[in-house]
Amino acid sequence: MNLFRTAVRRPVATSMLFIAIVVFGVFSFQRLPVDLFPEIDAPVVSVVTTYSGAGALEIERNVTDPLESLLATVPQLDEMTSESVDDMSVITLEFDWDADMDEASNDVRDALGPAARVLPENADEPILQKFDAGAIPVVVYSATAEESYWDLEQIIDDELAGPLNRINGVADVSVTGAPQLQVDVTVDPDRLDDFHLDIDQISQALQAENITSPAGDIELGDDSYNLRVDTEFDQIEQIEEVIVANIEGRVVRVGDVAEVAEGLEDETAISRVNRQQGVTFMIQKQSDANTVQVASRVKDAMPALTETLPEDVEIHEIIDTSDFIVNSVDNLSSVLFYALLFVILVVLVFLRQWRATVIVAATIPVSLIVAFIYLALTGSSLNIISLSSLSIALGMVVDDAIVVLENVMRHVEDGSRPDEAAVYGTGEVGIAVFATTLTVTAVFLPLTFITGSMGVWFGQLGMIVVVTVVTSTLAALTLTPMMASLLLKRIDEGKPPPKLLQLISSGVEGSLSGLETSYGNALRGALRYKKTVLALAVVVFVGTVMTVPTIGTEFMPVSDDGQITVSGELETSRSLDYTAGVVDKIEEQIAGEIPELRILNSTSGSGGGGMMIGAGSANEFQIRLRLVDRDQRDRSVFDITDQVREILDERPEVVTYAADAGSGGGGGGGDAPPVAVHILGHDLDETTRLADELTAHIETIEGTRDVNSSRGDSRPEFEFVFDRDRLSHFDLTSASVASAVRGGIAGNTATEYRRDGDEFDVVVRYAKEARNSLSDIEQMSVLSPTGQRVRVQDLGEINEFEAPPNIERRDRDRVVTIEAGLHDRPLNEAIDEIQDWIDDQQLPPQQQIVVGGDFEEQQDTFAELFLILLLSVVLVYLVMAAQFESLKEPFAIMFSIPFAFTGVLLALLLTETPLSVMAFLGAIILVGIVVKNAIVLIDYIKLLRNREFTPVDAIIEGGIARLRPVLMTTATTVLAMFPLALNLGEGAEMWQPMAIAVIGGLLFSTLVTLVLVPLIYGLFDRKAVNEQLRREREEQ
Amino acid sequence: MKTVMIVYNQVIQRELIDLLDELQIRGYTRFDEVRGRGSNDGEPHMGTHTWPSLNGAMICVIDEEMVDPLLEGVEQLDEGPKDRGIRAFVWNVEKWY
Repeated sequence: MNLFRTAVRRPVATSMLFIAIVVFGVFSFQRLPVDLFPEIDAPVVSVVTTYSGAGALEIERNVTDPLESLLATVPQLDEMTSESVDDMSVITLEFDWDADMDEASNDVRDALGPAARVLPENADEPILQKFDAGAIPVVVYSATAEESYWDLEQIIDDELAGPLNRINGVADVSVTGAPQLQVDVTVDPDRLDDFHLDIDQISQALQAENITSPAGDIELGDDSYNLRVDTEFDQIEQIEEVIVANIEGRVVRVGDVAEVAEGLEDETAISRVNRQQGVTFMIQKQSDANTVQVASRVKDAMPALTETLPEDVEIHEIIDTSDFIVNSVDNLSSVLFYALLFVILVVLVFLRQWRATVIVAATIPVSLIVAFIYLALTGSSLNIISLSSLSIALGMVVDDAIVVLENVMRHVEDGSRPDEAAVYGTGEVGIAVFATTLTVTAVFLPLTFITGSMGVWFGQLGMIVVVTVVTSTLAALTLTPMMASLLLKRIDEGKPPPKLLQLISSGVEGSLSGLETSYGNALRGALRYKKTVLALAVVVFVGTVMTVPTIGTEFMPVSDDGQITVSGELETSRSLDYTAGVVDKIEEQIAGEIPELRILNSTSGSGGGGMMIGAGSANEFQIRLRLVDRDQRDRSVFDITDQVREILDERPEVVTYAADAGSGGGGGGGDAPPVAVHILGHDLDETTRLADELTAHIETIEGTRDVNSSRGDSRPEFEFVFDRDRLSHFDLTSASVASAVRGGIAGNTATEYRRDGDEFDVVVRYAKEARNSLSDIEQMSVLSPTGQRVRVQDLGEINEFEAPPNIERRDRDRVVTIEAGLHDRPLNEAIDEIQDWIDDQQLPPQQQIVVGGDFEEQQDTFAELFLILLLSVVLVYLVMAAQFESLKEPFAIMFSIPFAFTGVLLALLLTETPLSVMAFLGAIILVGIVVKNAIVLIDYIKLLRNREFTPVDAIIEGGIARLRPVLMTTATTVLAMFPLALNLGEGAEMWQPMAIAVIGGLLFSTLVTLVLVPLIYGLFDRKAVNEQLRREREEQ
Repeated sequence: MKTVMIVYNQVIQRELIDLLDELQIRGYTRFDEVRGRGSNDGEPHMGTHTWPSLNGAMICVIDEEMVDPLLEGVEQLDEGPKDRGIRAFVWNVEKWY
């Protein structure tokens, strides 16, 4: 191993190597995009099929079921769920996380090949949709206006959309909620009757009279002219003039039977911002563009653009997805900075030499910067996972340098020249440093094997820690001795430090020596009362294991991103205006009672999750609250969400709602709600009954929030049942009657009216008064081919029936999912109560109730993490056994591991933190860190034994000699995690439980390691130890 | 002519060579990384995990009057806060060419 010799002999080459690494790292750092999470390609493909006019049941039977049987055999399919609603079937295929999604979509496309044969004739071709994270808007603005309200969409399209679209990275600017102008041709059914006309005839007449068509060329002399027929309407009045029929010499014009006016399309949704009706427009990025960059470009451009708008138009920013990213990254950067500060302070206190501190600190930037190179090479980004990983690695990268430098300094203090000391001092500990790095790798590398969405989190953490720690070892073996040879001074050369520093230094030295003496005495005592100490250890361990059931579990901690989304529903039959009215009242209350509110924005007539399907019913609404930044408010987003819930609870009109806080962090960890129970079974009535009962039961469980059943309430629908004999009597068909009725109620878009380059629909339909009640509809008349007028009521009857608005299926079985949120209650306790209820049910074999949601994911992930933990422990043992060339010593060292878990449990109990995936991760990380301490200790005790020390002397002397390095590396790791544990700001919440677990586990296990591990090592030489202790006592 | 064999902790090799230069002793034959332990006490130099340090050995053939200054210098090198480990042994040179 001449690595360090070369490094010391060639300081310039060594410096250049590390400067090259730093330069390359800085270069990579500047090119790294900033994002919230590492890029995840969700392995989801949906198949959307529309079949107009069919109800949910019919869709399920005729569309969803046949398609599902085609798709069931697609390879690598993990789960198939579907929802059948009116007119539409949506099948969602979830693939294994490691599936190649291009291949998967091709497989799905192939499987859908025979779809045309199995689907009903009128059904549209199934459309394949891949989940695309890029489709989520980057920035959403709202525009409100007074007098310009009607032209808002036009203004945004003309003045904003164009320039914004030109911005690099912007894919699309889309406007929603804008009032759509149209030309209403409102027909008076009585007048129609008078003239023996049909509504279709009016549409046809309008169509025929509003044309522009080429009629060929004419040649006049030598010139050729185009001839065109153009009867397009220029003015609305022209529409009234159109002749519909000529009855007995009398001309009937549109104006005779209908009123023509400009109007607004029927609204399907009303959106409001800060209680003013407005228009929202969202900016979507190109899928490869970076969110933060696009958002900042858009925001830079907006002020100049808004200035050109009419004065009464106001633009508000509603959602800025980059906000949370930038804040999180900023926060984590400061977490990293504090960690760096703490680590340097620890080194300074223990070594009390600024030169030594500089040497150790130099390894930090060099090691961390390599992580940037790794991120850039793998095309990843600077995100909250990579940054947190860096701060976790920070405490570990100095360890090797500390061990090396400590040994080199010892040689210098013994009088060696620094350059010689650097070479030989490094050589002496090189192997031990290499071995500890191997154990850390043995723990972190298996993390990269985790699959699923968790794999994205832990994989990056694992790789970053491995890369940085390996680099830090390289630096400790080259950079550290090189710098030591140049910077350290021979003891006789150095000037004595200033008085004050000397005083502090001797004070610290004094207390450290005192600590060493009392530790030596404690060790001696422990060796004497081995049995008592061992029994005590067993009691402590068993005692903490007993507390396990009292520790709650959760899946992932939720972050406070200052956003609350409320999705709610009124009774199924409520109209849009009614819904908007209720929402207005709720908004008024929220605006009045929540001072932390920054922006309040709502959509009536569209529920949550409508992004992909765009389906929403008039009775659904969504309210979004954006709060002021976290440092400007005292209450957390969760407390405020509870207040919002209270406000909603006071509204009897609201049937169900879900208030979701801190949704911003969900991107990586799956968006499943904490509690989700699936009731599987074909019988709709029976499963609905079960669902209702279970919903009621979950609502009584303490801590549950927003309990919702996925099967909507059955809603009343009307249907025509035609008497076919009567139809044929009048020479009518179901289709012709349906078209006439549809024309009257929904209206027909007859043609387009063009003005100033904009097109408006010309919609022909009955006046509102004539289509407002069931009897109006029964009174509607249809013109038979023979010219007879037939009332609809004479052709059949209108039936009322109840139909489920949606049918969900999971792996081809009907399912109702009951979801609930949780607040201040561990997941496992709530699930236990639900499980008790499920166990009490006497279910027929056709039905099944299973618990899913976070719990299912938590169980899966915990199981996987448990395997990883076992793997780490085994790997660590293998590494140690190889290093010590012994099976015994590693065994003693392994005893520090269980007490690390004791420490984790105690820390979780004390801080009332539930055991989440993150805390579990902390426990795994601990295996590596804790063992490192024990290795440092046992390695030296063993060395002293080989130097012919008696077992007792070896244990006590070795313990004392290694107390400082153990305390030092422990202090650096604990303090590096400290900022994360304090949860200083947005983005760090996720890691808080992990940091708490690591700090608790490390502190506790260090205490135990220092006493118990030497003790167990002593047991290997029981006789010799007892003998010596007895002799010592006799001598006294 | 006398042969001086110096066995030293390799940590002080540089200082030893400085000493030779100072005494204007040009010739030496050096054996790097040799292992050994003292007859009475002193740290063994084995290059193992237990005894990680290594020795160097050097043979200088010098004029008789240079022997004492060299031995003096060697003794000075051995003095430090701790016994650093350097010894010199002298014997006659019978013949050379």
